[in-house]
Amino acid sequence: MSDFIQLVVSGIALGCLYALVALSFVIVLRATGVFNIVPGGVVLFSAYMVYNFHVTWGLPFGVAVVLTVVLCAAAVLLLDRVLFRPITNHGSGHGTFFAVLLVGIGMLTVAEGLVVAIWGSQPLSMNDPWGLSKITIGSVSLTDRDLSVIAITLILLGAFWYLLQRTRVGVSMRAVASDPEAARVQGINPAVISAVAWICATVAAVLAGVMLGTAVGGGINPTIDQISFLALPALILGGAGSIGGCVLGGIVLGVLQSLAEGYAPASFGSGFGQVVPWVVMIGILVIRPSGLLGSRAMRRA
Amino acid sequence: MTGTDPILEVSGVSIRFGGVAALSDVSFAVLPGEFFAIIGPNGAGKSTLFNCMSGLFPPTGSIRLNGTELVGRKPWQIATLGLGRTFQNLGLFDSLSVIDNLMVGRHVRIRGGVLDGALRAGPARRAERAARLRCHAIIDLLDLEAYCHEDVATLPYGIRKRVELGKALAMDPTVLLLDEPVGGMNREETEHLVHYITSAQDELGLTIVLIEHDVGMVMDVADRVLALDFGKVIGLGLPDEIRHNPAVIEAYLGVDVAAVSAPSPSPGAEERDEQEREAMT
Repeated sequence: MSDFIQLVVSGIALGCLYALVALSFVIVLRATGVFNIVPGGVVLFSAYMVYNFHVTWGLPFGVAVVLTVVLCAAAVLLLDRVLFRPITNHGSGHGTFFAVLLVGIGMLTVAEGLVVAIWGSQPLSMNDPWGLSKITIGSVSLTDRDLSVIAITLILLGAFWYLLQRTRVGVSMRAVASDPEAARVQGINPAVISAVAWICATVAAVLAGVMLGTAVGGGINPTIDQISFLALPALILGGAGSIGGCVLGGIVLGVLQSLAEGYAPASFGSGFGQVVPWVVMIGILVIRPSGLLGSRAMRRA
Repeated sequence: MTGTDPILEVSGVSIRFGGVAALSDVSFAVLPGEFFAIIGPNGAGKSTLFNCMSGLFPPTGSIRLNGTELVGRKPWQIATLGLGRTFQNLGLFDSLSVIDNLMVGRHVRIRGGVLDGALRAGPARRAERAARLRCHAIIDLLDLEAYCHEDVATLPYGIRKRVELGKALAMDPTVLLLDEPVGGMNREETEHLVHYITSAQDELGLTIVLIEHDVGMVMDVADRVLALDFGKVIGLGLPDEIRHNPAVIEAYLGVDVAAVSAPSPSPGAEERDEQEREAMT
């Protein structure tokens, strides 16, 4: 039983990481109307940058994270300005959608190469800021790291929910998602909205990258951006377009994956857990294409 | 008509799409407080003209609002200068409530940066409350109280048309462009909406430029009428002058304009028959 609870808690923590990455996709999707995989690259770079600032240069962990957020946000805003906005300004529809997706996938590959060139291909270990200490409740022992991941994710999700539902910027973002042209003639500058969205997405992706990088045993390696692909099933499962959907989808998949890794027979192979999210996604697409919490906003994308 | 200097001045506006001249050298001026109507058959360039005014298309020529050049400005800048508009096919934000749809337009009138809005600091909070009061006043004016907190996606067409009007009014425009506000409505619904438009105009001191297919309605309410056909101005004057303008009559199938109330199809060449035109005039 205690094994089960431990697996569920670490599954929720894993699911929170999926949720954060999925969230960064959803925010950009809603504000620009186009799916963009570049936050996956932010996950990768931010882990290495925090490692570089915190471990190599010895800056305090918090400072390293803030510095990384600022630098990544600046880089992403620049990319949006010189690369993605020109593509989306030229048109809309499937062509643009694929152009942005392919450019994004290309950039992930470039990012992996850059990371290897700068930091090498060996896994790196961040001085784990949460420590490896465990909290033991009865026979169940939970790592600090799992609990931190869950707490940080919930705080960030709450902040994003407030921003989108309760503030002027949020209402404007939802207006742009609903009808970009009408929003422009209502006095909304889409460049401002997309910048705010990219900054929010960067914050979510950096936190996901940092938490992945400090994973017990896992550490940082040049392929941690692969989580951006594992976050896609979370997006689909939850119903792309809603924050609640990302969280629900991410957590359900994280727990399923964790349980599969814990209980699947050894003959299934060590990578079986990572297959589970995809199997679930395929099932969901067939049975309930709009996801568990389907949102109308997705129609436009 | 209350002023002498035009509030909106369109001069020499042209735009081509591929090989087609959608607008050719269109010029006219609208006076403050005027109810100005633009008529013309399908494809005459009416909506294109609106899109040029609100910055969605880049025309050549000049469009001035209160003396400020609009050509070359971005749509949101033009909105902030006081040019509001509605869309023929509705530009509503389906996932937002009626009040939030209005608040979107109101946001451009709230001073203060993005973070003020997010943190709801003192002045921003007061501005937010003032904006909400203003939106509620518009909702009252349009009798939309019952739908205030409903998502617009769930509302019937006639109500959505009224929300579209309210959304434009919420921006406090000095000039309001209405793109076929009564399109797709029956006689009774049309009368209701016209009543809301004219009472909004009286109450808020608006200048209105309206595109309409429903020529009968236009002749009743407009101060002056501009007629377009194939992107060119074919008539400009008082409703009575337009009613008897031969070029306008020809554009509208040679039928007496006053008798036309339903949308007319674009005339084919063979229908522009000399005989028929003579018979009608």
